[in-house]
Amino acid sequence: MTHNGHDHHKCMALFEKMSEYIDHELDDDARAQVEAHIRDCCHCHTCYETLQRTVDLCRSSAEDYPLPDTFAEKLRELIESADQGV
Amino acid sequence: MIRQEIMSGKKTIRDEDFELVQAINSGRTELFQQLVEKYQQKLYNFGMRMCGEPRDAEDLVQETFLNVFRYLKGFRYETRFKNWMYRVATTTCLKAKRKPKHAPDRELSLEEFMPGEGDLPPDQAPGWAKKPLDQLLNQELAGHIRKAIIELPKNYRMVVVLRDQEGFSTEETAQILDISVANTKVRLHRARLFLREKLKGYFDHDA
Repeated sequence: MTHNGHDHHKCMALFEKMSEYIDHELDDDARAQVEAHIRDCCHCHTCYETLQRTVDLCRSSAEDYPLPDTFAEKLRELIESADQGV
Repeated sequence: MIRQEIMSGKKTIRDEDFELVQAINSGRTELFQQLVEKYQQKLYNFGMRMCGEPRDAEDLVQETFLNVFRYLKGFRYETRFKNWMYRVATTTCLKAKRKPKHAPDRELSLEEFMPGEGDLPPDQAPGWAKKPLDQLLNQELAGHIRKAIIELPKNYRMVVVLRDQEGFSTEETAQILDISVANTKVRLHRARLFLREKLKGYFDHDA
């Protein structure tokens, strides 16, 4: 991954930190370095955008599943019998 | 309402379940049903995301609530009740026998996702990374994401589900799984890269 004078090692170092960057978990210096790099390296920018989109899709697709019909009733019976056994 | 404040590092956390848990532990066990009603949907979602099958998810929820009921007296308020309950759920999930259809428990290496020097990613983001999210996400894609998550080895699946679907922070996820923050970040990053490869495959195939 080399582009605009960036060496492969620099791109690889960024690749390892990309999730921390997305999660705002890098300190100011590291964050500024990542931002400067992805501004100049279009390949790393693509890596970042596709990973960010993966995270967005993962978060947005997390909807509630419908509970099975007798779910609550079974749980109530289970806890009642456990309570009686105490 | 009085809420227990928990010191975690430098942060103070409020536990909205403190009074209810205290009441149950002081003998009012009939109130446990309130905890069940409050968390049954969340735990069922977690079960479905981890197991992929309604029957297995139901078993996980039942086993988790039974264990929470049995061991609630030992809860020491060192974390939020909800986080402790998820710790019980993840332990229950890890003890469950691995399903043959699930991915084998293996380590994902960063190298398998790294582009080589002669293997440059495109210099422009593909359409699926640029299109507005609400125009992109539909039932078929959501189903594909669920399937891809199930294909992750369990240790990685658990981290990405807790972080990106259940909404826990990195620190909370580490605490729930009893692993270091650094290890949590490593697993999360590899899990996300795995999912990105699956999404690329889905959209390339669709193109």
